Amino acid sequence: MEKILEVKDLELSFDTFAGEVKAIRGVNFDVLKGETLAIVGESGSGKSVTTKSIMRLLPDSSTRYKNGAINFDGKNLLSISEKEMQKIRGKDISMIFQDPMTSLNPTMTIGKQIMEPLLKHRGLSKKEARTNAIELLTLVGMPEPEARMKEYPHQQSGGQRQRIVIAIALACNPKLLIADEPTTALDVTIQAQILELMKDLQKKISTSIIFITHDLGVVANVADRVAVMYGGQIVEVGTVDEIFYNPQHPYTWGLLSSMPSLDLGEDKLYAIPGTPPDLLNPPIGDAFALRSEYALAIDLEERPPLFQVSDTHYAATWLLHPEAPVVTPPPAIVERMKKFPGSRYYEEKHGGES
Amino acid sequence: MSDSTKQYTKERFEQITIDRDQAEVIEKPSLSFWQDAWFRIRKNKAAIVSLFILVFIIFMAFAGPFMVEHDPDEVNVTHANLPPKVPGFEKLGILDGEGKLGSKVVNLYEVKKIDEYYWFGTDSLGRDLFSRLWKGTQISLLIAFVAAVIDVFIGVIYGGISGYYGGRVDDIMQRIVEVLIGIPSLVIVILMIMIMEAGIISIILAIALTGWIGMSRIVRGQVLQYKNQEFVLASRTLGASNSRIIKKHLLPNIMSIVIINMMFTIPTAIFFEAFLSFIGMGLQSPAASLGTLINDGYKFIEYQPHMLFFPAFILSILMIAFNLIGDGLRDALDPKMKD
Amino acid sequence: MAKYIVKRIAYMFMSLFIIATATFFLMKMLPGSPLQSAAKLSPEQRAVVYEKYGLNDPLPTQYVKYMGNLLQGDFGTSFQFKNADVMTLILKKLEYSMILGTQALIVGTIIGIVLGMIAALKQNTIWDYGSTIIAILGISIPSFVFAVLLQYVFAVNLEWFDVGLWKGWKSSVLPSIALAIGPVAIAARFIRTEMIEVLSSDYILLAKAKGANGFEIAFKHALRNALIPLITVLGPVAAGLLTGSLVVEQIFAIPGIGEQFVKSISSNDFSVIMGTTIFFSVFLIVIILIVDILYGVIDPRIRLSGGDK
Repeated sequence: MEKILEVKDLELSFDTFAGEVKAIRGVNFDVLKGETLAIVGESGSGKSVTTKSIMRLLPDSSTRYKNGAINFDGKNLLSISEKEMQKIRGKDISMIFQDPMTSLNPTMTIGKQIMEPLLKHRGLSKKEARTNAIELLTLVGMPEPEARMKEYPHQQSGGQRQRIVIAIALACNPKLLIADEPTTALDVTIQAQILELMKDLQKKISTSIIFITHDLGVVANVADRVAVMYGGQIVEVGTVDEIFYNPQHPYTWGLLSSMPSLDLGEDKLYAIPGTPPDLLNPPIGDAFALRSEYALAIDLEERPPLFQVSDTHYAATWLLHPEAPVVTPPPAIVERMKKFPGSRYYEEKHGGES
Repeated sequence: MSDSTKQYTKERFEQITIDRDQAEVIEKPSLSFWQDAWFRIRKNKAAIVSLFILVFIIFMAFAGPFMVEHDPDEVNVTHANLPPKVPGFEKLGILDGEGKLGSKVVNLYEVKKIDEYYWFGTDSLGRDLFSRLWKGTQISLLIAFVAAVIDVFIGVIYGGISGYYGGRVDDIMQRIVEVLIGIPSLVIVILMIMIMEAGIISIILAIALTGWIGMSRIVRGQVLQYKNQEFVLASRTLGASNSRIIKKHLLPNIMSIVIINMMFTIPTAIFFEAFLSFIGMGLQSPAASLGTLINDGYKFIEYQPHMLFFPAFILSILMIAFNLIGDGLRDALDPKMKD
Repeated sequence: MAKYIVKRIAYMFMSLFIIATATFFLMKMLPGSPLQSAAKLSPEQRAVVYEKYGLNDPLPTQYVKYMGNLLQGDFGTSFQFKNADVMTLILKKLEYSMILGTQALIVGTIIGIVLGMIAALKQNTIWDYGSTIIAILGISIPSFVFAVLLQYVFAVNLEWFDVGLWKGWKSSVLPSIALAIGPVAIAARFIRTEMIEVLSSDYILLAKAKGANGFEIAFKHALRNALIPLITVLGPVAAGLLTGSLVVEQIFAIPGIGEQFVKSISSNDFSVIMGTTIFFSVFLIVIILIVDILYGVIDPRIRLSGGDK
C-alpha cells in the first residue's frame, strides 16, 4: 500500500533550565493510505511530541531537531519553510487535541472557527464556506447545525465541542488526521460516541489517521496497526492482532498485563514497577531494562535494534536475538498468545516458532 | 531473525536481576518550599540586583547621617543653597561646587569663601542635604514598613476570619468590604490626615487604614481555596482542631502570597507618604522624608536642581527595587509558575 | 445580569452614603475654622456669618440639611470664594481635568497595549526587555517625580513648553504625558502577561494547526482574548489618574479640580473639600461599576451565562 507519511530516524531535544531533554531518540514509522495507526505509551514517552513535530507545532525557541526526516507528499516537513508549512497545516494534515474544553477560541463563534480553514485553504466565498461549515456540523452529528454557527464554545458540552474540533479538522478533507488523545478528557459514554464517530468518518472520507492514546481498549477498537512508544523510542510495532496476541517486548507485556480484563479471573491488577526514564540523562541500552523482569546483561550496554518478527511486526528487544535465552512471558500474555496462530504458544497446532 | 550482522558472545545475553531501588532513583534532590523558592529567585538577576541595592539604601539610611560632620537639622544660613561638592571629583569638573547665581554660573563655594564640603549641597536654610537625604530615607522606610506590617496584620486576620468561618460571618464581613472598597483610598487618607495632627503616626495610620482591604480580599480568597482542599479535610477528619488547621495547614500555604503582597504594599506606602508630603500634608519641618525633600527641592528647581534630584532619585530607585523584588518573589513563590 | 447590576448599584449608594457621612463628621472634627481670615470680626459680625452658613444649628440638623441638599445636587457654597456654589465651581474646573485625564487614559492605554503586545510576541528579545523596563519604570516612578522631571527638561531647560498655566491645548501636553505613564505601564504589563498566557493556550495551538499565520494568530485569535480582561484594570487606572492629577495639576498650575482640592485643603474650605471628595468618590465608584458591567457585555462567556457571580 502507498505510504502517505514516513518518519525516519527522528531525533529531537528540548532545551530546558535543567538541560537538554532528549524527548525523541530515533523514531521510525510509516503511515499507509487510509489506515489508522495508533501510537500508545505512558505519559512522557514522546507520543504527543512525535505528532506535534509532524505538524511542526513545537515551540521554535526551545525545540532542536537533531536528526531525521518527516516525509509527506514528497517533501521533508522538517526542511520546508514556515510559510509552506502553514499551507499544509489544516489542509493536508490536521489535528484534534486532547481537551475540547480549552481547544476552541472562547471569544469566536463556532461558525467562524469552522469557516476559517475553508476560507483560507479552499478559497471559498463566505457564503460557500458557511454552507460547507453547516454540512460539516451535520456530518459530525451536531443537532441544529445552523443555530450552532452563531453560538460560542462555552454553550456546548464537552462531547459537542470535540465534535466541533473534529469538524474543523475535517474541513479541508485532510490526507492525514492526527488525533492526540481525542477521548481522554471525555466521559466514558461520550468517549464511545466520539470513537464511533471517528470510525464512521474514516469509512466515509478514507483519510489516514494517527491515533495517540494511552488506553489500549481504545486501540483495539479503532486501530489497524499499533506502535508502542517508550522513553522516546518505538519499542514495538505491528498490526493490532500482532501487538495484542503476539507481543514480543517486555514493555508491551507490561502494558497488556496492566489492562483490566474480565475473562482473566485475577484479583490483582498488574502494575509496571518503577518510573519512566529520565530523558535528561537517558539510559544507555534498552531504556526499559531497569524496570523489566526480563533484563539481559546486554540491555544495560547496548541499545537493541528493531528485530523483525513478521512482515509487519518489529520489536526492539534483545530477547529476539538468536543468542538470547528463551523466557516465558507473564501468564496473562501466554494466555493471549495461545490464541494467535504463529506464536509459540498457539494451542490448536501446538507448535509455535521459538 | 536478527537484522543486525554483528556477532555477540553468549555471555552478554545472560539474564540479570535489576535492583529495584535503582529503577526508582529520584533524580532531583528534594528541596523544601523555601529552598526551591530561593533556588528560583537566585536566577532572577533583576530581583537579586534590586535586593543588593535595597540593602545598600537601608544601610545608608542608618549610616549616612553619621558619615558627614553636618547634622541633618542644623541650620546655617550663611551656607544656604550650595551645590554639591565632593572631594576628589572637583578636579574632574563635576560635583565641584559650581552653580547658578542669578543667571551666571560661578563656584559658589569660592564666592562665599566656604572650605567645607557638602557632598550633596545644602538647602535654603543651609542644612546639609547628604545627611538630610538619608535621614529622610530612614523616615520614609520606617513609615512604609510599619504601615505595611499593620496592613498585613489586619488584612490577614480579617480575611482569614471571613474566609475560614464562612457563612453569615463571611457574608457580613464581605458586605462591609464591598462598601469600603468603593471609597477611594486617597480621599480617606487625606481626610484622616486633616483631622489628625500631622506627623509620622498619623501618616502611618492613614495609609494603614485603607491598605488592609486589598490584603484581606487576597487572604480570604486563599483561605477559601485551601480550606476545602483534601489535605485540610483529611486533617479535619483526623480530629485536628481549628487552631491546628489554621497554624499547620492554612498559614504556611498563604504565607507566600502574603509576603508577595507585602512587597507591593511597601512601595505603595512609600508613594503615599511622598505624595502627601509633596502636597504639603505630610511631615512638618524640620523633620525630613523623601517626600518633603522633593517638595523642598521642587521649589528651587530652576536654580538648584540638585536639591530635587537626589531625593527623587532615591525614591524612584526604592520604588523600582521593591517592585522588582516583588515580581521576583511572585515568580519564585507562585506554584502556578512551576514546571 | 440585571439582578447583579441592581445589587451593584445598591452597594454603590451605600458606599456613597458612608463617604458623605464620614466626610461631613470628619470636617466637623477638623481643628481650625474656615473663617480664620475672619478672626478680626466682632462677635456680632461672626454671629451673622455663622448664621448665614448654618453653623449655629445643632450638628444633627446641619447633617440632615447637608444630606438633603446633596441629594438635590447642591454641594453648598464655598467659604473662600465669596458665595460661589461648590457644584458650579467643580463643573468649571472639571473641563481642564477631563482634558488631561482622557488624553492620558486613551493615549496611555493604546501605547501600553502596543508595548505589551510587542513584548509578548517577541518574548525574551531586546523588544521585550525594552518594553518591560518602560513598564517597571512607569509603575515605580511616582507621577509627580515624572512631572517635575518633564517640566525641568522640556519647559525649564529646553523651553519647548511654558512652565505652567493654562494657555490652550499645548499646555496640556506635558501634564498629560506625566499622567499617561501610569496607564502605559499598567496596560503594558497586563497585556504582556495576558498575551503570553493566551499564546500558550490550546486554542492558539489549534489555530496554528489550522494553518493560521503569525499575523492571524496575534490579531484574530489572541488579541481579543487578551484585551477583554484589560477592562478590569481600568478602575485602578482611573484611581491612579485621579491621584496623579492632584499633584500634576499643581506642578503645571493647571486650574483643574485636583489643584482646587489641594488649595481648599490648605485653606480649610469645608464645603469645597466635602464637595470634591464626594465628587471624586462618585467618579471612581461609577467607573468601577461601568467596568464591571462592560466586562459582562464584552466577554461572551459572561454575557451568555447570566453573569451572576
